[in-house]
Amino acid sequence: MLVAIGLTAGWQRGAAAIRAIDLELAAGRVLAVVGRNGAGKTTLVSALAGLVPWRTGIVRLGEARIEGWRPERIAAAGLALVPQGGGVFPGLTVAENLALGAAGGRRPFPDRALWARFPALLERRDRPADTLSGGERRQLAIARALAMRPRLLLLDEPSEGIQPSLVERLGELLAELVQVDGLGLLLVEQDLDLVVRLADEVLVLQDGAIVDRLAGAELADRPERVERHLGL
Amino acid sequence: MAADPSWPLLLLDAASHVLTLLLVALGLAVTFGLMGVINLAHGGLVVLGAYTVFAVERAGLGFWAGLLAAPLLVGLVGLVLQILIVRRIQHRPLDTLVATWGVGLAIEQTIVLVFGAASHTVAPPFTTTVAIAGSSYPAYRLFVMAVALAATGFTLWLLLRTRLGLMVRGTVADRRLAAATGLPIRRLDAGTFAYGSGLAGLAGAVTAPLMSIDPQMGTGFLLPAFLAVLVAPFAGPLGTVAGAGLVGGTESFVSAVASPVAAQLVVLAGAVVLLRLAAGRRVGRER
Repeated sequence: MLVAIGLTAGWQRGAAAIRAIDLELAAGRVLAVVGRNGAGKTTLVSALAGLVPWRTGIVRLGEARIEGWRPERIAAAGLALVPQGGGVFPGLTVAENLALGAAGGRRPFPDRALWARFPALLERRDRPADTLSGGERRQLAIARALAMRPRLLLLDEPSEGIQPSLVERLGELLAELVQVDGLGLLLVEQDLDLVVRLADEVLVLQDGAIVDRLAGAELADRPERVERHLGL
Repeated sequence: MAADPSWPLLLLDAASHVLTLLLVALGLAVTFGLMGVINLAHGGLVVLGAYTVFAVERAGLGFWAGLLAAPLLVGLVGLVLQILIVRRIQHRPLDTLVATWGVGLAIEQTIVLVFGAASHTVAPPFTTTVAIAGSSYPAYRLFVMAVALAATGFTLWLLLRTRLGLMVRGTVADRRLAAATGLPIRRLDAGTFAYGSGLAGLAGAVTAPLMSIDPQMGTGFLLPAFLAVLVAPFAGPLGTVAGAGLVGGTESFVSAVASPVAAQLVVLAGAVVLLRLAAGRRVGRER
């Protein structure tokens, strides 16, 4: 389980910082974070992954306090990140990308179960990652993170830039990861339909702070509660 | 007209020059080409390798013990250099340049203090010759060429065929993602730098019997080695093979048909043009 209490983080200059964030993410649950561009969503997931300096607050991963941990130590402890618009190693093949995920998680590779879950990637195993389509690259980014065998997955805008039919399949995959594999997902997402479908809890972020939190079912009944923060 | 019997030997000399340059440039291809660290101490590390074999031989342990000790000792020096200095400043190229230049000077002056400023010689472990095209050729030069090829082959195998090499390539491809994937990037940085330094030590040790060694000899190695890495048509050790062939081959050819001074001039003039093109290509790659 991941718990953050009063987490404040951000670069000294530049990108929006996040302030006094309280959140809890358990195995088998989906916590969604929504907000306008620049609200601090990417800073939040990057900070949880150890990629943005933390200033104050407490963060626990399982029993361990992980403030000040380096990103590779956090990842090795079971928290995997699929960053926005990327998440693959350019110039390396599909198989090499997955092998790196396995190496990062101290796991053996090849992993038959992983290939079985992503047959399209198996067909393209020797192709460089940067020659894949946008949807395939998203699959590879998620598969690379899964190759680490994480307990929790941080997904930053996974549906961004992929066609609607693939978003549908992405939703099925993420639901399977939660229900079958028991993973906990922290999902930063602009697509409210995907959020309604998956989320147990929704945090609304604005100017780096949480301004509302509601259950996933509440969002389905009263979408205007979130939409007004998104300017929709 | 019968072929000039000196041409096969000239070609062998050129190959020897290219492969010696390759051996020196290979370490730079790892620390500079892969990691992007402008390591001006590389020449000093080559000198340290040469003096290691000299000191071990003088201590009565023989050339082969020195050849084994040099890459290990210089690799260890590289490891300490990376952990104490380079790690803290490697994202600031100008600082790295100045700091490693300073380390190079410190190595040079330490050698002056310990061994004196005069030049020394290291006797080759064998002085046999091989008959090639009616002439005799020193077998030790062939051995140096074989070491250069073996070191290049081993480095390529390490990078392209092992899990460790894959982790290094992943870190080079996207450092931030590598960290978020759980790769031990600090240990990989330190190990890669130590390996590149060890190659510099090996280069200094194995080429020591081919020349007289002195504390300033690293400067002569550094410029052509940097050029070989910079003009490499593509990144990594394989590109450096081509870069060393281009720089070393041009130098050898012009030396043979004109003079060594003309060779230096041609290489430097060519380097200015190629660096202009290479700079554009590097910027393009980074974008």
